[in-house]
Amino acid sequence: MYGFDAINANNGWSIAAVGIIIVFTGLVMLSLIISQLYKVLEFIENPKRFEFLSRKKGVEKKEKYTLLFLSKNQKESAKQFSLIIKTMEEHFPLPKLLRLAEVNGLGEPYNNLTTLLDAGIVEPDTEGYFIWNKERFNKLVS
Amino acid sequence: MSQKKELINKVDVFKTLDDSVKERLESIMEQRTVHEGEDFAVEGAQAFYFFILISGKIMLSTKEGKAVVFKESGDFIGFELLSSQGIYKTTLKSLSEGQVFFLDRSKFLAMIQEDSLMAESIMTEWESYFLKTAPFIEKPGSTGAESIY
Repeated sequence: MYGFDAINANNGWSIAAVGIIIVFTGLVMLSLIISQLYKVLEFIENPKRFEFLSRKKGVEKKEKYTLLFLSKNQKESAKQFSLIIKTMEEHFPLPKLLRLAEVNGLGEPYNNLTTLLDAGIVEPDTEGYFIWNKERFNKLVS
Repeated sequence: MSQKKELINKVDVFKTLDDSVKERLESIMEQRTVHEGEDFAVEGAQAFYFFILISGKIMLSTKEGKAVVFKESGDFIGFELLSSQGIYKTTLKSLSEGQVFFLDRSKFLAMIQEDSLMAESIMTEWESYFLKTAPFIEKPGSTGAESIY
């Protein structure tokens, strides 16, 4: 038996297909590894630049929630801020929140904003914007 | 140990510098009080200083509304280090009354231009600090880097 008959009889098409898939998968993986190789080289050349990866978590943990309790006035102010937050996007610019607090006549907007930051009710995201931590707000204010 | 020296040792960007250099840095630092709501650097204006936070809280923000709040003693605020034009790239607003060391920008740049190794060390630490504190802020153009080295 020769030619296509022999290929059909011995599962030649599926074997060929598996072979092609294996080769292409290997090539794709190889290209992905090569494309990321510069990061490994950069790390070897200058490991200090990557210190923030290991330090960041520790710093965040240490800095997080420097204020664990709120006074009655601080709770009231947090509630007023929460009303402003409802009019803003989920990830909001901090200067805008401050401006709106001033425009809406909230008492001591700077002082109260720093209280919210210390309490972790207003938290930075990773893109330079801030988020309202509802869980923290409920825990400290409700 | 003087407060200036103590603070310089806390600043990541300066931690690898020799004691003699740190002493020279002390001479170009001036302590000032910043008040709640005060904008002591405005985006687009001529940059005369870098800043080191002693106490208080400073909000650094960009025109797009991106912001970061500095609140640790020893935080270095000087994202214009690479900008040869010397224009503030961000606005600095004090969120509370506090104390800040103002570091004369031109004297500082002149000082590090004298020593290429020191300049390299500062730039390496600065890059790392930049990535750690505000990776979302567009890095100033590297046009000034050559003049520093």
